[in-house]
Amino acid sequence: MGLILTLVFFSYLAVAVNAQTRPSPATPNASPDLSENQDSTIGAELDATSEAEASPAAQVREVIEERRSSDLTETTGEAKGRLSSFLEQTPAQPLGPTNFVQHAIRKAVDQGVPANVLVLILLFPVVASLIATSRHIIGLQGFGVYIPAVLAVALLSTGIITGIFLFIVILISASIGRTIFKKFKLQYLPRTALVLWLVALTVFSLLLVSPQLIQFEINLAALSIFPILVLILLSENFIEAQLAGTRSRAIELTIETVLLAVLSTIFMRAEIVQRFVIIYPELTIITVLAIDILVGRFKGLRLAEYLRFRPIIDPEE
Amino acid sequence: MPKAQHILGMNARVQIYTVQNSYKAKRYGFSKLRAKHFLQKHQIQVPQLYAQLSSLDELREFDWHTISGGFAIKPANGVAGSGIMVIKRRRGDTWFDIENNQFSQDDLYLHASDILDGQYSTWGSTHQVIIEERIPIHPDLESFAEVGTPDIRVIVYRKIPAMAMLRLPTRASHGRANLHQGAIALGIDFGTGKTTYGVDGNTAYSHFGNRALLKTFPNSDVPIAGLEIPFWDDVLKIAVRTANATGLKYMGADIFLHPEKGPMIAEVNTYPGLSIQLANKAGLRQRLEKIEDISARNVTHAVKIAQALFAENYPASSLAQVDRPIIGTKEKVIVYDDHDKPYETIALVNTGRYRSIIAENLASQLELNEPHDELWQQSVDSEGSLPIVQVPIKIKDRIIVASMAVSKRLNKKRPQIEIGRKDLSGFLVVGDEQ
Repeated sequence: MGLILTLVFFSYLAVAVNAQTRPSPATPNASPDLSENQDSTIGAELDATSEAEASPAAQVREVIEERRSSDLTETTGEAKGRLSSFLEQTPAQPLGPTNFVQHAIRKAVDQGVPANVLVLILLFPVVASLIATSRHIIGLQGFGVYIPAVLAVALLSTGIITGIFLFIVILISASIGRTIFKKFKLQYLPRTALVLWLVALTVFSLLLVSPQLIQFEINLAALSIFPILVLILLSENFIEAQLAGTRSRAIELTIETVLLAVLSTIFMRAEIVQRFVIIYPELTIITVLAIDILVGRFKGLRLAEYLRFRPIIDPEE
Repeated sequence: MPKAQHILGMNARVQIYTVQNSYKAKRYGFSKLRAKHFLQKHQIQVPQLYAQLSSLDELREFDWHTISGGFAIKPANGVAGSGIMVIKRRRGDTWFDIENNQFSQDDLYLHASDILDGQYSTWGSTHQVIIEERIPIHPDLESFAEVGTPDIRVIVYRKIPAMAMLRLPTRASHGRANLHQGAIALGIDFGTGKTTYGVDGNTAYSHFGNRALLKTFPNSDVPIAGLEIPFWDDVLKIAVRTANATGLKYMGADIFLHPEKGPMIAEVNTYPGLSIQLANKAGLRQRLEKIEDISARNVTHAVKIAQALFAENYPASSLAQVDRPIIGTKEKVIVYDDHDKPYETIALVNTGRYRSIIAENLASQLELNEPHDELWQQSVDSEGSLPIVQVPIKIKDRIIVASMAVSKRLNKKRPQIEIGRKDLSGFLVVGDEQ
C-alpha cells in the first residue's frame, strides 16, 4: 500500500514537473529553457481559442490561474518564482562543510531545476517525521505514515477546503457503493472494482458541475488527476478499517488522518518553513534524522494513552 | 489504583516486550493454521479442524453438508476476529449463524472465496480458509454472553501468566469476543479465579468524557464481580504450556472453555491488546517487571508463582465489603503446616510493610520451607535475598494463602509472623488504644 502511494506521489511530482501548461508571468529566472517555451506556446494557443468564449469561462480560468500561482506542487507560477528569487536575494556564504548542500541547490536552481520541487522533496521527510512524532508521543493514529503525508501533498495541490470537500464526497460514495454492491453477492475484486466505478462516476459528475461550485470556495476545475487518485486510495483504507473494526473507529482514524494531513499542509505552506529548508537544507536533514531516532526510542506512555487509562490511573500522580 | 508508570503503553510493549519474540516464534501468531497443527503435535488442546481450503478448486469440491453440528469459517491469518462466520446449525439447505441469520450454500461459498481472495488478511499472500468445530458455551457462562462464545485471554511473559480477562461477546459485537468489535471484558483475580472489574469495548478505546468502568452487566443489575471462571487452574496451565511450546516470550493466549473437554487454545496472539489493564484495574508494566527475574521450574510452579504474585484478595461480593472483619495490631492467628495441622500463634499486623514475613525456624517447624516449596527469591528490606513460600493462614475465620518471605531476623523475636498490607486487603485494621 505504502509502496503504491509513494509511486503515485513521485509520478505526480514527475508529471507536475513536465506539465508546465502555463507560462509563468513572474519568473525571474534568467535562463528560460526550451521545453517551457514550447509549453507556453501550447498554453497560448489554448488561451487564444478560449478567449472568444463567454466570460464565465474566463472567470474560471482566472480562479485556476490564481490557485496555480500559490500552489507549491506546481513548477510554474509564483511559488517557484518566490523561492528562487528568495534564494537569489540571500547572499551566498563561502562554500564549507555546513552549507555544501545549499550551494548544490543554488547551482541546480540556476540550471533550471524547480526550487519548489527541491523544497517539497526535503519537506516530505520532515512531514513524515512530524507524523511519526504525533503518533508515538501524542498518540494520533491515522492510517500509518504514508497516507497522511501523501494526503498532505494532495491537499497542498487542491487547497484544504476543496480537498476535504472532495474527500468527503469520495468517502460517502465509497461507503454507499460498498453497502449497495454487497447485496450483489459478487467476488471481492469485481465488487471493489464496482465501488471504484461509483466513486469515479461521482467525481466525474462533480467535475462536470465544478464551474457552479466556485462560488462556494470549492475549486475543482483546476484539479490534476493525482490528488484525486490519492483521495480515492484513502477511501479504500477507510473501508478496510471498517472491515477490521467498528465504523466509529474507522471514522476516528479517518478524522485523525485528515487532521494530521491538514496540519502538515499548513506547515508545508508556511513561507518561513520553505525559506528555512532552502537556506539550511543540511540542518533540516540532520534534525529529521535525530528526531526520528529519538521518537523511535521513546518508551513512555503516549498522551492519548494517559487519557485512555485515566479511569484506572491513581489521581494522586 | 496503578500509577501512570505502571501502565504498559504501545511504545513499551513493542520496544521492551514483543521485541523479545523471535521471528520463528511469531509465525504462530501470524497463522492460525500453523499454530493449530503445532499445538496439536504438543498435545495442547485446540478446536477440532474439519477442513482447510487453499484454493477455489478445493472450495468448489467441499461439501458443506458433510459437517454435522456447528462450525466456524475463519481466515487462516485474519486479525481481530474479522472474517469469522460462526454457524450454529443446519436445516436442509439452509444454515443458521449464531445470530440466526440464514445462509444458503452460495452464501457460505462466497464468504469462503472472499477469504481466499485475501479480503480479511493483513499479511502474507497465501490465503487459506479454516473450517473448525464451534465451541459450545460453558453452562456457567451461558447467561452472561448475549450471543457467541466467550473466551479467556491470558497474557504470559517469560512463561509466567501476568494478567487475564474474560471476554464476553455481545449483540453489538455480533457475537465476537473482540473488544474492538464491542465485546465486554472482565478482569480476573489470579488467586480466586473470580472476575473483579470490567470494561466495555467503547469505554476501553475512548479517550474523553467521564468514563466509568463496569459495575454491573449492561442493562442489568447483576454485578460483574465474583463470577467464577470454570477450570481456572487449567486455564492458566494451558496458557503456560502454549508459551513453553511456541517459545514466545511475550504473548496472549485466547482460550475457549469447552463444557466437556475443558480449556482449548483458540488463538495465539503476539501483540495482545492493552485494554486488559482497564478490565483488571491494574498496570501490566508493573506486573511484567515483577516477573522479570523470576524463572519457573515447571508449569505448575509457574501457575503457583503467578497466583502468589498477582492474587488480589478482592472481596468477592459487595456484602463482604460491608462486614470486613476488624483486627488489631496483634492478632491471634492459626497457621497450617504442610500436613494441614493447625498451629496457633500471635501475629503482628504491620501495615508498614507490603509483603508478610515469617520466622525461619517457625517455617521449618511447620515444614513450609522445604526446597520444593520455595516460589522465588526476593530482596526484602535490608535483609538481602529471601525465599518466598506459601503459608496458609487463618485470620478471624478467614483462611488465605499468603506468600511470605522467610526471615532469620524474626527467629529470636516474638511474634514470629508479621502480616503486611498485601494480605490485609479484606480486613479493617484498628490501632491499639494506648
